[in-house]
Amino acid sequence: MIKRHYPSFHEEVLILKLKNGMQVHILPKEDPYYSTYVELSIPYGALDLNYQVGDQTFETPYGTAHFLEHKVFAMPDGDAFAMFSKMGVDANAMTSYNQTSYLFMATHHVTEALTYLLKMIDTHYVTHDNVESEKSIIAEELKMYLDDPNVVMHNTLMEHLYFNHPIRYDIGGTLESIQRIDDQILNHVYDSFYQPSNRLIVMAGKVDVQEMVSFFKTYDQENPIKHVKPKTRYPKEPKRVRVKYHVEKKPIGISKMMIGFKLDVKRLNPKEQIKREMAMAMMTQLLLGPSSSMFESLLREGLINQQFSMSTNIEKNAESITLYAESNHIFKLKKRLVAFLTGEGEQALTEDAFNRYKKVFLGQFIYALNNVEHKAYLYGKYYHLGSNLFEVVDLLQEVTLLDAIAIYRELTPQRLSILIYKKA
Amino acid sequence: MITLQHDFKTIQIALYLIDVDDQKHTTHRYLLPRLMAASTDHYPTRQQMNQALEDLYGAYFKVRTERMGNLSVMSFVLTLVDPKIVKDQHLFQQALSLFDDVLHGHRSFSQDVFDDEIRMLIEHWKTLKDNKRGYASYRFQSTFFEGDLYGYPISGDLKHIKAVKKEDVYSYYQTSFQQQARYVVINGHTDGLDLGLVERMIGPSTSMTHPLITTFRSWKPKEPIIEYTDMQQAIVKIGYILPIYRCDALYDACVILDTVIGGYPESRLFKIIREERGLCYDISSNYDYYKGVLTISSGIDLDQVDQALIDIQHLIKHVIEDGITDDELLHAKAYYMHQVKSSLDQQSVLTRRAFVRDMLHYVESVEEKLIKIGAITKEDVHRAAKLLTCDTIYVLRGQKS
Repeated sequence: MIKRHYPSFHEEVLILKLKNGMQVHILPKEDPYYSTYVELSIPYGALDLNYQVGDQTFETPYGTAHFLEHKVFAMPDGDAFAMFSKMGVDANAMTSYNQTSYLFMATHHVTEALTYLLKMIDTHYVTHDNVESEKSIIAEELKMYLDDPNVVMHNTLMEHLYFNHPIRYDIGGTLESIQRIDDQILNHVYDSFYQPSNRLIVMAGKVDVQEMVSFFKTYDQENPIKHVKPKTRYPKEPKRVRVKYHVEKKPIGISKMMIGFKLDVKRLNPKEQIKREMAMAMMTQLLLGPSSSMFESLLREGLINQQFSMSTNIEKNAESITLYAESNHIFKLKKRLVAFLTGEGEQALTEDAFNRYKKVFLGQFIYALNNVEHKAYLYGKYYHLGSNLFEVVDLLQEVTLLDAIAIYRELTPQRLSILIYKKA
Repeated sequence: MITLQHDFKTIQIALYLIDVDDQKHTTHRYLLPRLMAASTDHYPTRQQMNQALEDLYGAYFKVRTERMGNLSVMSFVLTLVDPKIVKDQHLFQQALSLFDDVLHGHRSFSQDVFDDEIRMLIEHWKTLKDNKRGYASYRFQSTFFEGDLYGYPISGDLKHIKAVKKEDVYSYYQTSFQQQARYVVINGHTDGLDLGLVERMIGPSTSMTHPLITTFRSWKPKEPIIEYTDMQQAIVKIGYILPIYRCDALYDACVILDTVIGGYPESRLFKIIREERGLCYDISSNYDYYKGVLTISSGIDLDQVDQALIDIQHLIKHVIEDGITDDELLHAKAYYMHQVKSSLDQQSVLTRRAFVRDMLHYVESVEEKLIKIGAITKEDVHRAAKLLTCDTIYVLRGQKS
């Protein structure tokens, strides 16, 4: 067992590396603490549509990772969700672009729930019938999102930014693509990606470390499979955007706009990539965050409301910055924002604001550590990115204002796509 | 002042202000905490206020107005990092000073900030129909609670929002703000911090003089309300009257009943309507113990709405007639106990709970609570279930596919 201490944050990580390739990272909390949070994650997500095993390549429909996440809960003796609930344990799962996570929060029956979680992952119970019956449930989930204009706009903007990259499609796929998913596809994906060597377990909160060491030793002996990781292949993606500008009239209460910048993908090592992600996030806050002059002016001029937001998205082979706004003066707002984001805004990137925002980042990191779920999620995320959550603060110190300015200069009109839903 | 000594990495300082809910001041009470936290005499713009918070390592205020029975509660919760972690000995005092400013530093409210708030509220109302789920909740709420303040929007309606003046809200701040019952909570690793300073700057707690009243009307016959719009699903909401309240003996049995009906993935709604029949993705129930009602919500396949309505009501009828099984009781109790215990690790829950317990004079310990849950019987739950009466059915839907 490897032990790592992070005294400045009063944190400790214990790492178990199993012979079958699985890793278990424990972030224990001292008593009094009641909850144990367990997250098992697999670096297989919505973007892993085309993959290679040996010499063979496989193409899967959009939404396959999310569909498999649903079906992992299917067990020969019923639904695993119900079994967790019977133990008095809160279970859940989520699929992102890059990973699928299965998790639970328990205040008792931790070992039983962990045993069952692993049994659930190891028992692949997918049949023609249970795949077909799941389609109607997933279709309702997708329709729920399709009734939300913000989700529809985001999906449309991604389609406008990208020609081929799978980020064009919703994580859940489409009503049409899920119909093409069958038991054979799910079986192959499961066999390729869900082997122990691809799994990370993060446990946080109240943990009996000795009991867990013994538990995983036994598990390792019983599951000695070691597997080679499949390789995901991405289609070639042009640098330019697919649709630069699109306006559509809609029966909505107020006009809405999304702006997206498609950035060049930098081939960076994990640490440099995390620094780039932080610099990107800081830049957006300095430009248009609630403490920026531009945000204050737009608000004062009645051009934006509380729905205004910006986000940075760094995924495998796809990087973008997106912005969402609602306005009664949408074209005036568009003009102001485009000018600001593609030239005039650089003056907002000052040393003072940058240093202030570094303090905010440090604060946000500490807030995240306060919540075991958030902490374990971030820990897993940075692990799969090839880094360590607790090293992120050190990396933060290395990010400079020049990094933020360099990213700002990537925001050129050629990389820009604008989508407007104009109130009919 | 209530002090909670917990080993969190952040410190929360919270102030809760309580008054009797009344329609006349609904918009005032909604706007007041937002205006107070957005700017002060010392930080006259939102930008300056936000910069001040960023300087405190991104400390943040959460302000809100909510209803609890007949009462209206305004809350101001400031969260900041533990000064010991960032080794900043001035942080706590600076944060308190900012809190003091938010509460007391207003010779008037900024007209700009007021205008922005009103404009954004009006825009929120204009876009309500764009958010189908939000709109369905609003429509259901105003129908189910028609004639009751719960049916009136927490921000006031559009007519009142447009009519309210900055001077009215400021006058309310001057005359009513200081007179309300107030509860102060500090929660976190507070060793070595000057807690006396909290009372000096935020003021002491005072007790509530108004009793908490939890009542609702009796059942009224009404036809289901079905509204059509452009959407892919149907959002179904069914309101049941369940006249058992927070202080009643059967309260915990009602929580179990809600859990069994639609409170978790082993619930009957989830297992039967979603898993067995495949009619929906999301379905759940929610018990409001201040109003004595249970609401079922779901997004249903458009072609199956009629069947789903029949199935859901049949499912509830079955619970009313036959109660729940031994297994259901056992599992729902385990889940409820887990919820109680896991909430002890959540700072915001603990902060709010400390205030509610103090306000309602609850002295029950967690251990006592768990024993009480353990003692609930199937008969208790069945007694509660027999009081369920279907009252309001609301459906927002698209045309059939």
